[in-house]
Amino acid sequence: MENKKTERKDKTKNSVKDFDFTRDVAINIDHMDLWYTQFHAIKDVSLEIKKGEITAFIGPSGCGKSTVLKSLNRMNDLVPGCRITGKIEIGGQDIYAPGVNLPMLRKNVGMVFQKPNPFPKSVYDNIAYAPRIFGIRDKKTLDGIVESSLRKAAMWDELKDRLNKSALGLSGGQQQRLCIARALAADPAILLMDEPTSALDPISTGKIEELCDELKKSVTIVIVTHNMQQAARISDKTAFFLLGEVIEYGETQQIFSAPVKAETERYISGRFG
Amino acid sequence: MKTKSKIMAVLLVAVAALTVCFATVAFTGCGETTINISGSTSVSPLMEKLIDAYNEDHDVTINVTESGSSAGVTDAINGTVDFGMASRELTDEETKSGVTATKIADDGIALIVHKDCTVTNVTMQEVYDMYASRTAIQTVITTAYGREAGSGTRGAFDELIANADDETLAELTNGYAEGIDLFNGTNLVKESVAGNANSIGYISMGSVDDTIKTVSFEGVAATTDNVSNGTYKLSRPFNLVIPEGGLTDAAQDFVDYILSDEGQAIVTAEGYISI
Amino acid sequence: MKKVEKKASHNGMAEKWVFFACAAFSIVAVFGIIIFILVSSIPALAEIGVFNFLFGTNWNPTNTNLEASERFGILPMLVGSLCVTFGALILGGILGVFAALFLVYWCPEKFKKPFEQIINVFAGVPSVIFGFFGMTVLVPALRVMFNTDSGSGILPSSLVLMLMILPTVASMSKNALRSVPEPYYEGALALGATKEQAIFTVMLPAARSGVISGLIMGTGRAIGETMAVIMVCGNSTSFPSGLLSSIRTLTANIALEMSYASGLHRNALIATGFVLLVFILIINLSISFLKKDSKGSARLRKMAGVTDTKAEYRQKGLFSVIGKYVSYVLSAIVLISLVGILLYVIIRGVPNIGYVFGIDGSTPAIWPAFVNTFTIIFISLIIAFPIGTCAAVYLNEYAKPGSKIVRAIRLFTDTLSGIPSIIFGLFGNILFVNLMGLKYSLLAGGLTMSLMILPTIVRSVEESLIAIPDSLREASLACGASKLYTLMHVILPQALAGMLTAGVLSIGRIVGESAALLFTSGSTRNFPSNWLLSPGGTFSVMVYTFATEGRTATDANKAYAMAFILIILVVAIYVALGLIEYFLGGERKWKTKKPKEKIKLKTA
Repeated sequence: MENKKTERKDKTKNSVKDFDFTRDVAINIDHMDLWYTQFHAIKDVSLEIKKGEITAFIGPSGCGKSTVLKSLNRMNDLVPGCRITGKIEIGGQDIYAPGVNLPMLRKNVGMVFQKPNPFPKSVYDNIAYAPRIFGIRDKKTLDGIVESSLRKAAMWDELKDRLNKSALGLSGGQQQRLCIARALAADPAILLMDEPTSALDPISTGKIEELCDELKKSVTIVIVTHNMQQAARISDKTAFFLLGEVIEYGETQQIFSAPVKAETERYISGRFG
Repeated sequence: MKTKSKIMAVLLVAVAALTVCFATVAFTGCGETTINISGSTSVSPLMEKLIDAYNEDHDVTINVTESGSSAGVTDAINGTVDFGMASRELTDEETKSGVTATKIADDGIALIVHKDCTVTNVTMQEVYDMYASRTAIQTVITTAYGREAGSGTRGAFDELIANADDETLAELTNGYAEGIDLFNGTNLVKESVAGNANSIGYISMGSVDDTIKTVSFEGVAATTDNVSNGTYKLSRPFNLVIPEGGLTDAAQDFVDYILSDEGQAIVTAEGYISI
Repeated sequence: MKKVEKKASHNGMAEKWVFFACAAFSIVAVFGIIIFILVSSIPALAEIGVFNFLFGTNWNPTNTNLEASERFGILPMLVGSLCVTFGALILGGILGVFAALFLVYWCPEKFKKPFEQIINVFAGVPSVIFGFFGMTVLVPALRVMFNTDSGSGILPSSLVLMLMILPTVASMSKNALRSVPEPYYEGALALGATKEQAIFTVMLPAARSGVISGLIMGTGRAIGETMAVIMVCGNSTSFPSGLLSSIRTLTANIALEMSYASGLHRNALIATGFVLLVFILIINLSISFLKKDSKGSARLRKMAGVTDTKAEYRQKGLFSVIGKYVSYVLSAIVLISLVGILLYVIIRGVPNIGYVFGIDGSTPAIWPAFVNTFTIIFISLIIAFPIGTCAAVYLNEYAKPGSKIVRAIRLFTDTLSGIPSIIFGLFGNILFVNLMGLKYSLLAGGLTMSLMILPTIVRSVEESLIAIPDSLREASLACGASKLYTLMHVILPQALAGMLTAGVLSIGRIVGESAALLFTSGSTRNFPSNWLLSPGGTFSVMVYTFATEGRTATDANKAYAMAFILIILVVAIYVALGLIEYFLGGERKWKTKKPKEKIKLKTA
């Protein structure tokens, strides 16, 4: 009897424990192909992303970097006609295997979008959103999560007096950092950023870049960017995408100083894209 | 873009054509002799039959607006119609305003019940108690339907039904008892009674049909014969309300027709009592 | 035409004032209605006493043994109206919002359009049909179900009103939900919310103000509805004592007794209308306040401070999943009841269709109904259309956006559209029928209806004007064209779809109207013989009079047949709307261009 009980308990927690983020490899993409109905968008991509690193995806528009990023928390599921083959492992688990707990995956793999998308709620309710939907009701716990998330996002001093104000009243840069804080409140292990600074001014961009550097202590970050200086400044590894393929993947320094492939070299030197 | 403007043009032309079409139809009647009548909803059905018969050899348009006895009297007083219709006697106040009543028929008020109802006869006291305090009639009839305040049928009915102390329903301070549904039309009363086996209602005798059945009142069956020989007590007059200035020639001719033997034959045929 | 243009090129002020006058017309109309109804109620209020009138519990107008102060008390009706409206709001609100959620988020793509169309058609179904259905189906069913005497009262009234406000609530909620930015949804999903959680915790709250506006509009419709309620509420003047106790609403009180009333009684009924009008004005004003609603409170939040609690994140969302299934079930109920009414009318109407063509030897009622209906449509369109279009032009092309006068005009136009038809009927009866001496006539009916359809026209035309990009105006002006020339040759042709839509919607409103016309154009079943001054009943009015006043069983059948024809007309009107959208919808492409491109990008 007792055995059964513990067993069941284990099962409910299974989904949480299934993702093992203590491993060295946070994300492992293995021969991934992706189609949008007929269009072959991603062709045989394999990447291994290490824990605690910032990896930048660069490449011209339409090269598939955002598509790969969105496959990592399965946001591509929203696109009708999207089909994926190959294997993507996160925290040691195949996220496209049947029976994967999607909400738990997305809780652990946070995402920041190109355009800041705070909910039309107060600052507090925005941050507390993820904890609440994951069953945390206790006010003290929520307060703690909200404060620590805002501190992690370096926004606490800015926002502590306006927690009850609508998040839509913040500036664009603040909104984007709020979105980062909101993602952090879900206690993710990985943070995906889809061109997070493309809609922001240089000062806000700088703040977010600083933030990334700070965050990398606790989360693995994958960032898609059009801005090559940005990739060079903040990332440890860089993957160069072209026409749905990874042309080159390696240490950022090496990619920018001595690219192996001719296409990489031409792109970085600004000759196309 | 060209096809679009073509479609637009076609649509516009169609709309214009339709409007012109309807407008023409609407205005063709212009110039004919007309008689406007308004008033009691109880009298209008009879009036429409009379008009149909009258129009077989007359070329007159007669408009009937069903607005209720009081409105009919008011319209006649204001001269907005050729004459009004009232299914009750005129009040003193009304006759003082200069209008006169011309009786064209008598109408019995039938008490009606559901077709399967076992009750066949009701007394005045039973009816009074039902409407005044919602006391069940012979344990079978538990609810009643009535007409709204101002209806000629209700006015006549309320004046006729009294208790042992000769207090009529019209004198009730709070009107009918709670829970007695009121309707502003004969048909609604009839449909409601037809749909409820435990109910009673009252309507013009001429409107009785086979969807419901009548009950005897104080032992007298609700028939036109019993109304004209005076044994059935629930009856009221159908009056035409003639304005102070009298009738136009056309209206006078129509009223004469109603009062003629030919007109009165229709009155009888429709289930009312001729004068 | 040419002359005007020439003149206008010198000085654009002349036409601006004409447009302004048209725009200000709705302000005049609202004040006109308030003043005429107030003035006509003053004699009654003075004789009865305002307190006695509002808080008197006895309504027995014909008992002249009583003092005026004792026999004209509307408190039971006030309570009745509030109870019925509350019931309708709860039922219709829940059904409407959940139906909208289903439509926007869970409905399979294939069924979206049909479901939406059915709801749209129902917004146009005349109230007499709902009342007729309630009386012949709902009331007897409730009587059997609850084993009571009558079956009429609050419950059937609320149910009928629920069906009537449902389309309003559903379509406004639907629009509000659709306009919630997609990124909110993606953001919620990316945080680990399930689809259901995202909908209930982000999308619905984000659409809140639109949903609430829909609910308030529904409330206005429920409290002002007359013809449907009158057939199912029982109409007894006692206080409600249960869900199935016979009650009377303010509107039913007016419509029941208005036609029979004279003197003080009539004034007391108009005063009832004034009380109703006050309620409606309050409701309308609350919508406009809602639109201004402030964002977030300024109050500081007290935080517990960082505590080193280890929060446990567990998978939740059962509640939202239940919400999803509730939405499925409620939508099914909505669909079944709406389609049920349609089928009922068709099944009872088709076999009897011969009666309205005079199969039983009686005068065919259908042709006079056609002529009367279209004459009234013709009169009201000819009056309201130019005024409404000019008003929209003023609001969008000439006035300074956001200025006080524009806001006032918008407020009054909205108010005018919220005034229930029974009030228009009273107003038309007082002003056109009596004061202007038009008597019961098609002209009086047409004038009354022109006021009713004015807001519809202003709004539809304005919407299509807004959709026209400024670049078009600038291009024309830059070529040296005058403002009026630009308007006539560039702007208005582009707004054609909006103008046609406005026309068709107005026709729908007139076809479905009964309460207002009963007291202005009368219920005669003849062809108009005396030009526009002859009385005449439209289709809806005839359904009502056949249903209430019918003498024989065939008259009830005529009511069904007329109701059937009415439904066909309503469907035809919506088909016409669809055709306009289909052929001329291109004018609106600026509005929809962006999302379409986005979708293309996603799938390509």
